[in-house]
Amino acid sequence: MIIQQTLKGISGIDAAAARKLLAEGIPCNLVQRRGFISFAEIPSRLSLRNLDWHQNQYNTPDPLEGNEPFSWHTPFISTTAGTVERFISTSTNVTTPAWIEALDFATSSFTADGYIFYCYLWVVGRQTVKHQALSEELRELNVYTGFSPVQPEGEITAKVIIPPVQIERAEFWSASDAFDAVKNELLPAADPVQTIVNPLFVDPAYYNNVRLALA
Amino acid sequence: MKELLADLGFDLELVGRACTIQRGIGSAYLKMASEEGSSSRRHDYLEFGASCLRKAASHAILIDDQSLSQSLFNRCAEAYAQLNRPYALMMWVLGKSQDSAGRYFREIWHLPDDRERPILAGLREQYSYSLLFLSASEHIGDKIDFNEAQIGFREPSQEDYVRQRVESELEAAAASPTGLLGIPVIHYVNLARTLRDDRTEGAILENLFPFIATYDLAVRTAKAKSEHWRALRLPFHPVEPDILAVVSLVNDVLSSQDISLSKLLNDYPIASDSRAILQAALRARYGDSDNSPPVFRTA
Repeated sequence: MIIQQTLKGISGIDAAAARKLLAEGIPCNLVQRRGFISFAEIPSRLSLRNLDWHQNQYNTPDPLEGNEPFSWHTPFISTTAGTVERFISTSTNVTTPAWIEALDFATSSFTADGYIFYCYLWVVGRQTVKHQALSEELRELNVYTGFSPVQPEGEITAKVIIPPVQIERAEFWSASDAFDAVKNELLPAADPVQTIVNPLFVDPAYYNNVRLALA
Repeated sequence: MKELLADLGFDLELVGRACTIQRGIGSAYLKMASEEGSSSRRHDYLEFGASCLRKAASHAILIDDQSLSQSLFNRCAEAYAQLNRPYALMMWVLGKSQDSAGRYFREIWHLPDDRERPILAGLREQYSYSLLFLSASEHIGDKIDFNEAQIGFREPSQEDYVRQRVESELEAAAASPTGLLGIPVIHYVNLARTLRDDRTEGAILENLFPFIATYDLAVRTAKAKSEHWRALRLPFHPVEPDILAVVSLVNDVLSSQDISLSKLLNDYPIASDSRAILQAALRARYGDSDNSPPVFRTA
């Protein structure tokens, strides 16, 4: 198993909402809309069909949900870990950093303020769609072999809720500051003063397999 | 081009913002590359930065900022040249920097020290661009001067020898996909030969067709992903530089014979959107000198 750092951009939320997510976890849209889902319902929601719709037909009316947008009912939570993309035109592999992808979501393409949440998800290098605790590496073509035009977004998909213990911090990003930076050909940066550290987070280094000698 | 944006489903403000974002991030990464000590990381920064600038330059075409587009394509070309990728030639073509392209071409178009070694080992498909560039350049008054005491050229006949070797090695990889749209290498070879040996309108149209048909298919497919198409989140760009560079090289050859490629595009059985984008891109790039009427989306 790999403990994978991922980033989750959420736009249009303020500091209070960010603190609430750190304290209670980041829920999927289904939980957010309903408040909860029963344990009995989770297995049927975690299906390959829903995962495919989450990736490729996110806002499409879903006939299984009374033609409401699939996104309203998704049990999945998108995050990104960046990706390496084959660029055949130049015979190169292009690495897209996770923070750039997350920033686009966090600021709705530099139009709204938002937060980037630094999370740690568990992945095992194969499809585990029925296991709520494990995340799906949609970016990994050797695991999810079907073609998706949005594969370069570098998605790692969590399920139902990302617990507070797995969320390290939330970085505030001002859309106008970020846009001013790129206009001046500079990389945008988060304001460290406004970063919220999560006291409930447990450093995943605790779970690694290095056992220190007794001191 | 701007007048087409709404019909194609694009928002002018969104495209402009995307252009600024990609330009800013790409430029910042190229600057980081120039300051980076680790060669591996420098390589990564160059690739990512160039990729961003390529997108920004394409976005700039959509918003009719030709000057910005050319400047960005040229910066992109410099980065690809640093990565030793002949694709830089196509970027310089789009940046209208024939001199820079010519200089770079002379650096890469030579025999290996060991005459038995394949010329294209490792980067074979990349030489599709070099071959096409050479063939197109010969007919527009920019013939590459190999007597400039450049690397590896002691006599003019070497040029043909290298060309034959390159063609032969590319033919051996005839079906290998090249470029973002995966067009087989053989189509680059065929088009290059046509531009060199048979500049008739019919032959050129025939050998350009695989590029136009593939582009047309890509536009139709991409538009079906309407949300990603409108947000410019697909790897394929509406004014795909891979195709626009080829079309520009062909247009340069044809216009030297007073033939309008823009008009000839009307003869291809492709979707009106695909045709309208290509014709608008050509108009933006070369002006309205051919007096062809704008073709707008009809279906």
